[in-house]
Amino acid sequence: MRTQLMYAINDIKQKKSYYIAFMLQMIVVILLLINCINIFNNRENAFDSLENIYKDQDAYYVSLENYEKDIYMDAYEDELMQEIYKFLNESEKLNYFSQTERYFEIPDMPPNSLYEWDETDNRKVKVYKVLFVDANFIEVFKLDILDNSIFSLEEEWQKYDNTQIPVILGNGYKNIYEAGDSFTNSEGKQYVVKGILKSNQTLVDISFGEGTISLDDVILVLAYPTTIEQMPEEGNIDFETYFENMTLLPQNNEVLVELQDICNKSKVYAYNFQNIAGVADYMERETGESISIFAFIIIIIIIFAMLMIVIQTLDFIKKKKQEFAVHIFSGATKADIVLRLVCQILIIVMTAGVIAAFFSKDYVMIAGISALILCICLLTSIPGIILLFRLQISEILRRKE
Amino acid sequence: MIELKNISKIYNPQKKNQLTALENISLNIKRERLVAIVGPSGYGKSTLLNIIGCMDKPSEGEYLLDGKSVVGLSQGQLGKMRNKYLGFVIQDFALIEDYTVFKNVEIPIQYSNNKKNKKQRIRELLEKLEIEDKINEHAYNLSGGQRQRVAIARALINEPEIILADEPTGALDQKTGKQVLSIFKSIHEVESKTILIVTHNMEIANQCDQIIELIDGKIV
Repeated sequence: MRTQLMYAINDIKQKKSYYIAFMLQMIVVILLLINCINIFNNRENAFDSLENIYKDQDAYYVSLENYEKDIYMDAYEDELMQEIYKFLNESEKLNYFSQTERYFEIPDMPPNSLYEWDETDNRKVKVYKVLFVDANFIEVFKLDILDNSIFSLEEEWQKYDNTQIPVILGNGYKNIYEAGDSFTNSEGKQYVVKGILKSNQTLVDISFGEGTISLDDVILVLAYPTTIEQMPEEGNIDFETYFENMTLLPQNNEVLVELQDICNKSKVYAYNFQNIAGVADYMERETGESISIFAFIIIIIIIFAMLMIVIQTLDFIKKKKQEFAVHIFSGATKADIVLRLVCQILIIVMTAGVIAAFFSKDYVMIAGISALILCICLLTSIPGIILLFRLQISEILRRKE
Repeated sequence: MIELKNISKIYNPQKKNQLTALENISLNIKRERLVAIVGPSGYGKSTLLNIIGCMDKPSEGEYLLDGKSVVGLSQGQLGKMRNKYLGFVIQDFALIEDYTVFKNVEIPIQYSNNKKNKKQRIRELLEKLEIEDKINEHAYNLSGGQRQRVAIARALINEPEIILADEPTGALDQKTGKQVLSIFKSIHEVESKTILIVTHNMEIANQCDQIIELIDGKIV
């Protein structure tokens, strides 16, 4: 084994560029597969949790029909909002949660996967994805918070004062902030970190139709809704926006009709209550398609890599047959030469796995995928091994008569 | 040392293109002999050398190497026999071009149980063969005579009792060929090795202790 390992390393050194290209392919395959599996798992988890919401009851999300219409709020509309507010708070047969997407500029925040560039006042700035969510949202989606003993949602709600807005950060921020830390956005609002989410949590974004989104790089701001007039002295989100991004969980149809009747009185807004089940199915299909595209790319890369192995091993054996003959008359067997080939593949796949581990921390998955790729590579090298066993060593060394 | 009893080698048996390369060969080569195998091309000399060198198995008969039967051995056991008892020198040297002289000579040691003092042994052997200064040269930088000396060094490095040489001077000019032959004679006399040389050259054959002539796969 040691001897063949040494010769395998020597072979790799001699043909560096080929092996580097092969290894890069393996790294790409490993990372793409991890990504694909993660997307698939997260999607499954997100849709499972969404399905759990409307498993026993219908769920509806609120949407505005004529969103582009000029909005003119007057006393009448204000009163209507108060009525909706009151109805939601007092109705025992209607549960709800809300989620609103925003982007904030937060100076000194390191970039993450969800930041975007925004151009305001001729200034290009990094903005970060923020979800305004209420306490119900966190409970409904059963979001897990690291060390949740220090955090009580209800308590936070009681002492909310709009000077220090409580936030929960995605797991990607755990090396930057910890509970108790605070940061300020470009508008001067101060946010206090109340907890960090556990990693790999996802949700299906129904309101904005973004499909499954990872919460690792999201900032969850606890939404404290108020009416337009009271902003910004009280609360951090106006009630209309809060309501417009709400998901309703009515215990019966009557309560939904009652709410719809109140909403229909508005002269400015035309609200629709869309059943989540149909939308969720549509979004599940959509995300399924994006996974299929990923899987297709992976399959193409794997086929290409496998073809490369077949061609390379056949070429390797043809070019090195005299060398193998020398090794065999010096005491080696054909099985030793096969071991040398296996060692080469093993070195490349293991190195690719180690390098992939620098980019992804899913060590168990990397080990599993590397083992799978190793098996595929070994299967692909079978034609080369058959060629090797068919070689007549004595013929290779036959002298020229 | 080498005992062949009724050895036959038939290629493609019971097929239209069946070919009998060796037929009922029996011979006994004692220790420390310098033996020439001669005969026209295609009459079984290489097949005989391959069977003696444990590179090929006979179709029939028995082969005893140092008193041990070789016929029923596995590939792994045959590999060990080759490594321990046999050293090969062939016409076109069979050096690995992109290896250095050291790495070429080192190959049999890698498959041997005795890896002690590897560097020193290789250096001493190359010194004896007067190519010690080429130790770090790549094979492609060597002349024909130097290449054959490296091939001889590789054959001798594990101190095998038998050296099998297939036309060892065939690719060399007359002067270099004589030098290489004198190396073989010196190895035979000083180190008491058993040497089998396959050759067309009767001048070389006549300098050997024993001549085996093969015609049509039979010993004449």
